[in-house]
Amino acid sequence: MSRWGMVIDLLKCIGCYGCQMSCKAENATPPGITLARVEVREVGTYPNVTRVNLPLLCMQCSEPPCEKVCPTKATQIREDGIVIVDENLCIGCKYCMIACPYGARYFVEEKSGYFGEQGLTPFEEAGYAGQRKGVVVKCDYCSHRIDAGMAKGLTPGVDREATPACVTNCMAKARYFGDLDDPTSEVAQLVARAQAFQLNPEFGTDPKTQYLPPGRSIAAAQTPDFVREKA
Amino acid sequence: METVPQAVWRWKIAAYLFLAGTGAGAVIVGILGNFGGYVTPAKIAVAFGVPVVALSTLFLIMDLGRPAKCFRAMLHPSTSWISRGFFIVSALIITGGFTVALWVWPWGSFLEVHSGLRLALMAAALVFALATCIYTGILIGVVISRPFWNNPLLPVLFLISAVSTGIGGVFCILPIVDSVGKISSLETAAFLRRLESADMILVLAEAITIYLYLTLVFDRAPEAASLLLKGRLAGLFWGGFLVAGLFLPWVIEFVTEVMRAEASPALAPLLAGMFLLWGGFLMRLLILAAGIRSPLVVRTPFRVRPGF
Repeated sequence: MSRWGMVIDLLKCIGCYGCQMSCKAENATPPGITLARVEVREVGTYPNVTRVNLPLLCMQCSEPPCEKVCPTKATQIREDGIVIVDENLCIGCKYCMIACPYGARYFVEEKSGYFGEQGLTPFEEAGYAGQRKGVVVKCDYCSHRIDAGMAKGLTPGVDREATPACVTNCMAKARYFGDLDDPTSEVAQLVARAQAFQLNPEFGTDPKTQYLPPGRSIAAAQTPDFVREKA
Repeated sequence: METVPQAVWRWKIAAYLFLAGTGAGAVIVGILGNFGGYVTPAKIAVAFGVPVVALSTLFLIMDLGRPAKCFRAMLHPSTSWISRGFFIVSALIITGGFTVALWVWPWGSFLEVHSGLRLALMAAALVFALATCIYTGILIGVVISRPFWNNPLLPVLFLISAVSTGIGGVFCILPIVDSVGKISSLETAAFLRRLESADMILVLAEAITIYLYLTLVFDRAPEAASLLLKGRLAGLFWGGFLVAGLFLPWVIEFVTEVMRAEASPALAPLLAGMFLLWGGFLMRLLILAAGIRSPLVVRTPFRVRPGF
């Protein structure tokens, strides 16, 4: 079984918010809900400071605190490691939002559209169909794309159709997706060789979404392309 | 950049924590008082506490996205403290409810035979009331990524505050019931005086616990601590909670108790009780609001050069 993971290169990310927009388009999320988002951070201490674009999404923890606190077992870990919310079981208690260290969960209060009194656009109407309100939603690595793609024999992380929308849409190619258990995959090689780190590992969550540091040397910065050519 | 308070769980959850604590505290006070020889006023305390606990759950349900499905909350007791709390609070409502029912209904002859049953029910209600007070602190205390809550003193603080607000509730309700129902006024007055001296100790203990709590939290959650002590929540914390919610009721109790002031015996506890309840609610609201997440750290072998 695969164990899906994502690596985001903070040196490559230019902060274009393309991941955020493609996620909204793919998952038709209401206003205020950004399953993939970009935060701009200041890093370092004066005078050695810089700004870092920090793309955030569900870290797909191997030990997800959200799953432990969920009182209804609506939050589940799939066999491939993706953490999902079963909207039919969720009662909207928001305990998972309290427990998630990464702010990756959102409560759907209202299925309102972006254009107020003008009502829902046809896109919103189509996208909202089948979505509940009063529940908590989260990024699931576009599991619908992964599942549909794999059913066609495609490889997530290699074939665009089977890859999460944010990865497909990243114009700086800062995002890598693939099977962490497959040693030949891009993500596994990056995790093994390129100083990949997890956000706040002290929480013991062991995230499968990992990052490449922004302040690497030139040689290390070129690692991703090197790996890509080899793979 | 200004620190923004935690905004996922807001006043409804604070109201739940407060009412569950107050109700459970009143049950503890009542049952202990009953064991201690006070009869009618102690029973009134329990009869006041159980419905308050039941009322508290309504706020919890109101906060749900899908309130109609609230019973699903019991499905994951192996790891979720909401599920565990569901059982603890339900058990308190059931055992406390039966305890009150056996006092109220004319089942005297039955009780004489089964006094063991009544005692067992009361003991169980006492245990579940204590568990209710403590679990509310564990509920948010287990969240490792919110270091302001992730603190062993939180359940202690909630327990002390729960008993104190329970006493506050009894202070508010007993004089009213007494004047309306013409119950044993002497016993009521004695019970109130006993509670007053107990609460003076509790308020002191609460103040010390808060001091220790904040010193513990100051290193581990500096952002949250400064949000509470000098940020957006500071006015409510210093003025609303520490002064009006802790110091004032203590002074009122001190004046009536130690100075033997000749105030109307009903008015002083009523006043102290209202300040205690206000402080208890505000304390939970503030602790909830100060429970912000640890900042996410971009770990990097960082070398910033000009032009990076």
